[in-house]
Amino acid sequence: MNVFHPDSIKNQATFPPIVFENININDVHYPTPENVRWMDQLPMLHYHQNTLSFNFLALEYNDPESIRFRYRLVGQDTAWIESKNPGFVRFSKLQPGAYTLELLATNADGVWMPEADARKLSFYLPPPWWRTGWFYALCALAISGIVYGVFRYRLQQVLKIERMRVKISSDLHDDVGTILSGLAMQSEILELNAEEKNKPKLKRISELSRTAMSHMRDTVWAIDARKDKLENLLDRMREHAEETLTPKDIAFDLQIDQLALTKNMPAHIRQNLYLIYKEALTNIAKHSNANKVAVKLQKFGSNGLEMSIHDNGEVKQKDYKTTGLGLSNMRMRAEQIGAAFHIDTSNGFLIVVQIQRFA
Amino acid sequence: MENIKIAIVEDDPVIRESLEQFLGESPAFEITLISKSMEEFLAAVKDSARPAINVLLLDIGLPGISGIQGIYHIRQKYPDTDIVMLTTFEEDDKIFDALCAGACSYITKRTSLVTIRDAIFTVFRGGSYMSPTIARKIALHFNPKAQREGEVLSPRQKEIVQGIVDGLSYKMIADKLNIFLDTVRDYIKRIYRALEVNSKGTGFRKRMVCRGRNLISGPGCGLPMAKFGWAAPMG
Repeated sequence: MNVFHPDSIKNQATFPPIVFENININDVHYPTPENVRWMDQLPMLHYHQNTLSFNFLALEYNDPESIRFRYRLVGQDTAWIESKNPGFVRFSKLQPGAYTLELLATNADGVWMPEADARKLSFYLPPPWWRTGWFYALCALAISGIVYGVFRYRLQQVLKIERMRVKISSDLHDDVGTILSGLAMQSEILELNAEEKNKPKLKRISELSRTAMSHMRDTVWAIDARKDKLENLLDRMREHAEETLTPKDIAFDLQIDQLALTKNMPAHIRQNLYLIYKEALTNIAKHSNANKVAVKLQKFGSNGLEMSIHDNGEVKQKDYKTTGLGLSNMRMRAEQIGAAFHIDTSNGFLIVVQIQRFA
Repeated sequence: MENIKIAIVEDDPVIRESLEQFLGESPAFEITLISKSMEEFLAAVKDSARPAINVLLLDIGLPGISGIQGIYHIRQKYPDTDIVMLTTFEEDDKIFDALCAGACSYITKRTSLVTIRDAIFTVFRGGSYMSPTIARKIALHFNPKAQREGEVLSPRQKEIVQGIVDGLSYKMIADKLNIFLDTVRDYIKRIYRALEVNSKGTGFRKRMVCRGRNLISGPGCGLPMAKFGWAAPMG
């Protein structure tokens, strides 16, 4: 006896094969190197071949109309989209990347094939050359090259100026300094053998040329790029104290508090501070009866500097009136570097200069 | 009184002639040698019948062999001569190097000839001069933390260096330490001698060679003299 189960026939799990009929790229027929029907991978495309359309078909001869499709383009969509048989799909302006077109079909009974059996066609759309990593790297390299070049150029310029400063200062030092020394010595010799009435004049010449040397030295020191640090200012201050105070038997004390000796100082601040100091010391040596001078450089505020010059003498009133002690000069110099300037004569003579920002 | 025999090495003609004329006029001095360069000086003293020199005035910045480089060679021929460096401006580093190499004093050409003459007397009598900047360098050099082998300063020498560092005048130092003013100057000269001896220790020599300055080119330190072109007889 034969038993017949219609259900088992109807729901059989066989599926029609899915084939591609035609592929268009940029809406032009794309001749595939092998039979397009069974291909599962396209050859490497160009970045501009980014509009692709596919005609596909399920090989079902009994009832082709009953077949339905689902497709999705892995790499762009995750959802399945339904389509009829024969099917057609067009993807326009795809971004560069790797794609796989997956197709599922029903059989004539309307049963979907499992996703694992999907008909797949993968293709790769490379990025244009200007969007490749290599190109980015090259761009980065070029930009950093240009930046580096500009930086180097500016550095060179700064170095050039600095070298020029050093050269000017050492040339002036050596050449003009030697000439002025010679001049002073020659007039000194002349003075020894000169007639009495000419002696003061010749003495004046030696003094003038030594003064010229001293002034030149101050200027040269101020522009000398090698002497940009606070410690250079201190050296110069000590040296000057020795020149002006030691012959007068005035003791000198220089104290530094909470300042970094190697800190760079702008040339004009360094110069003006020094000239204020120099003027103050000249005053003490010339006009005061002090026997002690205390100079203190200390931190002022968060990023400032305070210089105080304090002696224990009394200024002769006559000198104060006639010369003004160059106080207006010092005040002007303080203003030039944006510093506050105070004087206190209640106990000796005290000069205080305060700069908010000195470096 | 026996006169002081002086030699001068100075490249600038005006300064050289000024020194020659001024010092030559004084009966206290006898100028035994004048040279334009270190090379000329060394050529003049290479024979055994070389002129006597008590005090040598040596320009610190000579063309060719510099004054500092020349000191070592001068000390070979004239171990007892007092070398006084002539400087245009106070170049502290160079002065310190010269003192380490064996100079015993220094004076700037900016000062008057009278002061230079007095400095020669001071040196001849066994004294010297020290500025606060140099005093600080010396204090640092003999700093106990950076102690090198060799000679160290006596307590009295240290007191004098410290006094100068502190900005005291020689008179104040003399008063403070209860000694004569000239004694202070004598101490300074002896401090420089200690500095020279100390500097010849290996540490310092190595340091100088590393710095590529080659100030002390003695045996084993190896700067061939011919390199300077004066080993051969001068044409």
